[in-house]
Amino acid sequence: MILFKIMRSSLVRRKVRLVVSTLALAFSVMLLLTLVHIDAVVHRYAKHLSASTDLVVGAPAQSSHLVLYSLFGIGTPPPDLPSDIYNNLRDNPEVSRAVAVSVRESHRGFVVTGVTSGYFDMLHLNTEAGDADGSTGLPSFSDRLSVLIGSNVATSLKYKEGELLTVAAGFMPSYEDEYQTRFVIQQILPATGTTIDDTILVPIEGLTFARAQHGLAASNIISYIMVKLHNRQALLAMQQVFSRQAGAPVEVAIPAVELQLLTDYEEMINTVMMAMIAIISALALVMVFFNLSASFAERRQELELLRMVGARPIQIASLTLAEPVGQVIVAIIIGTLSYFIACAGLHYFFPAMIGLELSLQQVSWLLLVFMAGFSFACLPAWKIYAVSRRI
Amino acid sequence: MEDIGKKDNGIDISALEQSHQNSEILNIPQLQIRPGETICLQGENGSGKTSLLRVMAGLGKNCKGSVSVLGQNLASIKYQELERLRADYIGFVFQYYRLVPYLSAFDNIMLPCHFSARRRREAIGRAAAKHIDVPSVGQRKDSAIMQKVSEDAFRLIRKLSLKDPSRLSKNASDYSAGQQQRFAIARALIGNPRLVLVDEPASAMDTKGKRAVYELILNECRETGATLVCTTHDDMSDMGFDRYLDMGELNLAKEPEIR
Repeated sequence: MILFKIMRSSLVRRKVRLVVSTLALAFSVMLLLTLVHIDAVVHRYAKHLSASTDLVVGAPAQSSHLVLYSLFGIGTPPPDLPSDIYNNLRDNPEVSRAVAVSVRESHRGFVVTGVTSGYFDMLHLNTEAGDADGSTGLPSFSDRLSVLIGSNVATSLKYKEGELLTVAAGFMPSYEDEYQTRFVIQQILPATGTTIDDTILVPIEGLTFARAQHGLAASNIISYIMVKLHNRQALLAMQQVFSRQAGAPVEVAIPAVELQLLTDYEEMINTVMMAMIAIISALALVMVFFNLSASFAERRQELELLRMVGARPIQIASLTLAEPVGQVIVAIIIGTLSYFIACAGLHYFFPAMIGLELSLQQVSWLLLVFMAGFSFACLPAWKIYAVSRRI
Repeated sequence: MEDIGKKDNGIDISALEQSHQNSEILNIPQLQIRPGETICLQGENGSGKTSLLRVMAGLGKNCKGSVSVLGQNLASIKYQELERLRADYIGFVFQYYRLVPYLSAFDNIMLPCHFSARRRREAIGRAAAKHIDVPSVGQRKDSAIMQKVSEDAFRLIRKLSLKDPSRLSKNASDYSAGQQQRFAIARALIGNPRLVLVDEPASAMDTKGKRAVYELILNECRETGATLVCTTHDDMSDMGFDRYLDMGELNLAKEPEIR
């Protein structure tokens, strides 16, 4: 009990240095957990997307541009593509599923995406309602003039199911660009943390109809085609086949390859960040170590006194060990709680950042930090033990 | 260790030599202190008083000869036995009091009783014999045993002329040098140690305070039958120690000032 009191009083006496070094360590723990989590989310998301789409076919452009726009909505929409190409590809026996996507219209600042059936299946976009009633949960259009809107669209424009909306050609349309065809909001999609949340999804037949009604000559155009093959091993072969058989110049991109490049870049950044965090953690641990060493250098006479009144070397060494280990544990707890708070905050902006539990990898990192702290603490404790034995 | 408790063992030193960096700092051919005897070691600074006390406490390094303390030969005593000898039977007042600065004065005084069951028992027995009331102290340990032990601490504190013994909850470093010295003395005396080694116990006190401190130490040791070895460079010839030893005559070392 008195040893605990000595430890507590000693810590209180060094409270400023103690708080600074503990917070530094807690901060590095929080950064570490956040980075590991972001890395896992990015990998999981990339894996999910590359598994859902084997090939993306578009008008001639950079393949990375095509993949980035089709999967993440990053960049500008790719050039138009005749819808005949979609019809040709769809009938290929190697194709399991082909989805045509058109991105040429907008509604009050939000992108209107025309899609063919199978789009939701390809993205594995399930709804909570579907899960609850035991069905597949995949949303679908009830007719060609029904639309599904993303959660952010519904929130921003205060739209409810059953309301009507119109779409316009282009992304900064004038009054003349407004199509007269009215679409009905069939369903508001649950938040996914993806670009779907900011999208209005329309059947591509409905868009074709609206364009024709508006008098547009090129009503049968699409932006790109997402393809899922029966056999993924035929990926490279089918890339060649599609390039030849499309009937027009096309770019056939493999998302897995492009995403691998992206994740390679992400891993490079991640490695740099991890190195920085490792340095911050090491500095915080060194701070803990030097605080402790300095404090025990000042306390050599106390050591002799404690030995004279009967404290055993192992008790004094335990005291030396318990102070920094306790500090490291507190830092890990504060860092983990801060990480949960940070994740809850990030979840508001990025729904994929759900992190109210620790993965095995994160727990391993925490154990590593603890073991490093414990090892640092063992050095002065061992030194104190040896000195105590000589008194 | 059984014979430590017997009161017929004092200190027996023969042919003691201690050196530090090839310089001889102690050379004492013979010194015998009877059990219960009170000794005042007088001498100038650097005469080897503190070194001799440290040897008696088992803190001396590079020693030759024979040193027997409370029946235990320090040259051959086992490590764990020396630990228990010091914790249970020896009260030591360091020259610069050495309190744990961030513990309360009260906790500093009670420190030996936390590590020694014998001293806890003795303190409880002593307090029970005196029927002492305990003033309220904020940081006092709540357990019944330590409550009883604390009674002896308050008895000693009162004897050390502290104006308000109930106010012991401040950190030791917040008190004056004289008060800290009193706490160190109370810490050494609590729990009836068989041997009390005191190094310049009143160097930071005024004349009145010095007399009170020496009287307390002498009375306590005489009441309990403890052996007392006290060093000073003040003239304490009228304090009534059993024996006064001049370190200049006792220590034959050539360079005692080098320690």
